[in-house]
Amino acid sequence: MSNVPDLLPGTLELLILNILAGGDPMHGYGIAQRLKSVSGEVLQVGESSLYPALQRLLLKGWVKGTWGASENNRRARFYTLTAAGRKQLVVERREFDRLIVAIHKVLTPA
Amino acid sequence: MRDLLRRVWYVIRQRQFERDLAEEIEFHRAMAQQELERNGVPGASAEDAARRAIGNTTLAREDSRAVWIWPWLESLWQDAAYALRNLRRQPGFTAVVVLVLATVIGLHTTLVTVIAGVVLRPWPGVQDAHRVVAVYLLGPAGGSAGFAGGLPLAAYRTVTERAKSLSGVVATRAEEVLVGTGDSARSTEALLVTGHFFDVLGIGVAPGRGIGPDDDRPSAQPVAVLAYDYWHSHFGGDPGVIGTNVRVNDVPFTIVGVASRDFSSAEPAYGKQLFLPLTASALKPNDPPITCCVDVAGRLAAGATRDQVRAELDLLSREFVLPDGMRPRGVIVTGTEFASRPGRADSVGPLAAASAISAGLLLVWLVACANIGNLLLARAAARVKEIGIRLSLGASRRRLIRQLLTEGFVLALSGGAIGIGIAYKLPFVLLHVLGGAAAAFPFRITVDGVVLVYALLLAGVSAVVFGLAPALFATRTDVATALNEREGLPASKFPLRGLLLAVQVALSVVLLVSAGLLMRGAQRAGTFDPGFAVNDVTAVSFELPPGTYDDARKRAFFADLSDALRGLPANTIDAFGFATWEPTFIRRGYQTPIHLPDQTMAQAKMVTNVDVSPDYLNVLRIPIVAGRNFEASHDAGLVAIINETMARQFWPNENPVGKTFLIGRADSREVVGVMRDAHTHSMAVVPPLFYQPLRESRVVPRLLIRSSRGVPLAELKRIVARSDPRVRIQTTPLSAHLEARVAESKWGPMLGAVLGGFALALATVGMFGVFAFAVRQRTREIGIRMALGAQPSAVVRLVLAGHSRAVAAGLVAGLFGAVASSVVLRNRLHGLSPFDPVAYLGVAVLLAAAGFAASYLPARRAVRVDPVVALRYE
Repeated sequence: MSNVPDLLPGTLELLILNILAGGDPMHGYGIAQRLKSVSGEVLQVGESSLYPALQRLLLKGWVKGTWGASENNRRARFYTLTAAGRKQLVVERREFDRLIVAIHKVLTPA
Repeated sequence: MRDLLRRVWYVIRQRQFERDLAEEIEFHRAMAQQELERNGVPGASAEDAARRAIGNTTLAREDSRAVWIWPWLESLWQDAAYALRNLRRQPGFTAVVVLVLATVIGLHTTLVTVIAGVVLRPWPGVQDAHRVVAVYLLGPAGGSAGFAGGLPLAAYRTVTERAKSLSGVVATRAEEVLVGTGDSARSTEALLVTGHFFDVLGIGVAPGRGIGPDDDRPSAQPVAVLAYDYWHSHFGGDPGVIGTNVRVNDVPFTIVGVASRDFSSAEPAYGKQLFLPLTASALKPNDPPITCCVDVAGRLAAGATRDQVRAELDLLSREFVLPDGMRPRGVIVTGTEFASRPGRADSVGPLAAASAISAGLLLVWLVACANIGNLLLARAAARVKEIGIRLSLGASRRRLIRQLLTEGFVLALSGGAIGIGIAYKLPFVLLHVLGGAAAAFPFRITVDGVVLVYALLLAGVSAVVFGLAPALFATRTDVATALNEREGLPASKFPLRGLLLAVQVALSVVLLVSAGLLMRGAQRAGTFDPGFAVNDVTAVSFELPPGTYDDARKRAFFADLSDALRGLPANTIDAFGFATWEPTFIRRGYQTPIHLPDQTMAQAKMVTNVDVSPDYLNVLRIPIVAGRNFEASHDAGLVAIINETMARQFWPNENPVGKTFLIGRADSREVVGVMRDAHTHSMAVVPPLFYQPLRESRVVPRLLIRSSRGVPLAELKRIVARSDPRVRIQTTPLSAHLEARVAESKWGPMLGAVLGGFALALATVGMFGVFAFAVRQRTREIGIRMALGAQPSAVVRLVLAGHSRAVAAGLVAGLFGAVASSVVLRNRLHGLSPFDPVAYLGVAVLLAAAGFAASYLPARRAVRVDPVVALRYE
């Protein structure tokens, strides 16, 4: 739903990549839950932004999806990071840090 | 690049991808629900909560899908499929709209097919036709009338020898020849061509060969090339005809080849049956050899442009001498398209007619678009509920608009496809119906890429024009009102409906008034007074046997003929005379630059002139209003009788009798008489005209006989046969010319009437739809009013009032438009006033009838509304 604070474009993808970087395959719902709990309930991502983001990542080839059984024995798609995704994570992370520093500079004038 | 491959993979495995996605999202929802239940929310409400919590699954799915495929591309297909389903569910509506669109687009495309054939296509059957140019001379006189036409033969030779910008130059001349012998001899159209004609233009000849340079010498063995159609119609398409002889003007010509079928529809070859070497003209010994004039065409030299050709020939043309001894002002170099010939794009030519027709078609198109727009609006209003639901389910407005527009496109494209089919056939049907008139249009008509693109473009533009506004209006609603209201929005929110209605009415009025005026004009033309005797007069033309008539013999023949006619028993014929041309109601005859002694050549005006014998005016019963007639005995060639129009133009407020004017540079004429204006050369106007005494010339004059008891044809034939049995005659009553012109002048009004009727029918249906919709929309309100005791008349007023204002506004706007268009049409009205009350009154009656027809049923339905039923309408 819309209670996700306005993220900078591309940030959601970065967050997903980062969560997946842990190495465990995760399904979409798990990613959303993880995002929610790690962010202290601040980042609640709805399907309508989560799944398009996942599809974008699939399209770019940064994650791949495999079907498996979930914890309650339902079929679910589990996402893992690809090698390209790992590289991309580094790049995006650097970009993001740069951006944050820049924003911070603007907000706290010397 | 990898992206693209994955996208392609996606498209291929689309179903699988969609299933996966749906399952994944459903899984997500189930997990969310489970968690809620774990937190103590009961099953059913947990499900709801989960749904709410994770938002719109459809939207999520669509957005996810949109990542993969260029979204519009895919949804376009979806929308089209959806639109098709929708339209199939309403076959009546769909059929009406498609039919209207097919008709409109078909008519437009037909016109474009014809215009493209006229304007865009160079001679067919010619190699690399875009590098072929036609050359014309500008006459010596000033003004637009200064176009002289072809080149004198000597000038053509100069061009051939000296023009560097043309790699090849050819000349042609149309000539009528006699083919065959004795009684089976037939007058046939031939094209005389220079020796390089087939080479330079690259015209295919099969079987056989074309006319070569060696054939175009005075001493050469005479050869002929057949036109393809003539070969088939007269020689059965037999290849063995090559090498056989055909008698042309009683001289044997060897057939050497058959010209390609394609080229036979090119302008120079159109309607011609034989191609002969230009030197063959010498084979008509009763005529002097051709010195003037030939049509010249050439092929651009490698790298040369038309401008270079013009510059070079302009320079060369300073040496040219026109037959009347004057020098041309320069040359015109054009392409070979039909319309590019100088003088074709004038204000009464076929192009002007085509533009008038296209203006009419444009109006009909607008009416059709307004009409369909209104239908779509009514339909969209009926779907407000559906649209509201879809909006509330998360469909974006933009998406809905696109969907509605897609419906329009589907409609327009179906209409367009049928329209193209119409355009494939209609031009030929038209040409067939027009028959003889069409024979004068030497150009090829084909539906090609240009025409197809135009039809599709028109369909696309139509879809936007009639579809955009309704789509915007229909989706403007917010969810709450859409779901509350039963059907549609309050009438006041729909000024668009009134606007579209007004547009339809206005345009129909314009079209109908134009058509009405044209029809009244044609009616007038049918009964018009030409100002001279038409009905009892017959023109006789003579075909003298070629090769045997010199001037003396010709003179003797006509003297014998006159004596014999005078010797007929009294009252057999009333009068007879001779002239170079009989009156044909079109500008036929010679045009000569005329100026007064105190004017310069540059001030000369082109005036039509005809050579006539002294009795001619008596035959036509054209009275002399001042001065005298010609006198057979002592008028040489230096006198003239002018008509009143010429008198007014050259000597306003003066007596022209005794005055002189100049033809060309120095040839002078003294005006001896003024005759009353007569419509001998045009039905619409009387052009300036002068007659001069018939002199011996190479033109064989025509005999005109007036006889109230009919022309004694058998007697005439006997007289001619006694003088020379080889002379053939052909008679044409002047009334036949007049009928042909009247018939031609009926096409415009007929077309106008068809278009106007079509527009009126559309507007009537449009009004009906709007009124009917208004009644349906307000059924409940009407019911309440009836229950409260409202009079039926008040109800009818209520229902019709809102839109009647639109109709009235349309009427007023239409009247203004009609006045404007009638002023434009003034030239084609045969002297009818552009404000002809009959035409306007007729249109008013028609519209009143249409308005009544459109409102009767809805009004009746309104007053029959049963209050009980109406209130239970929910």
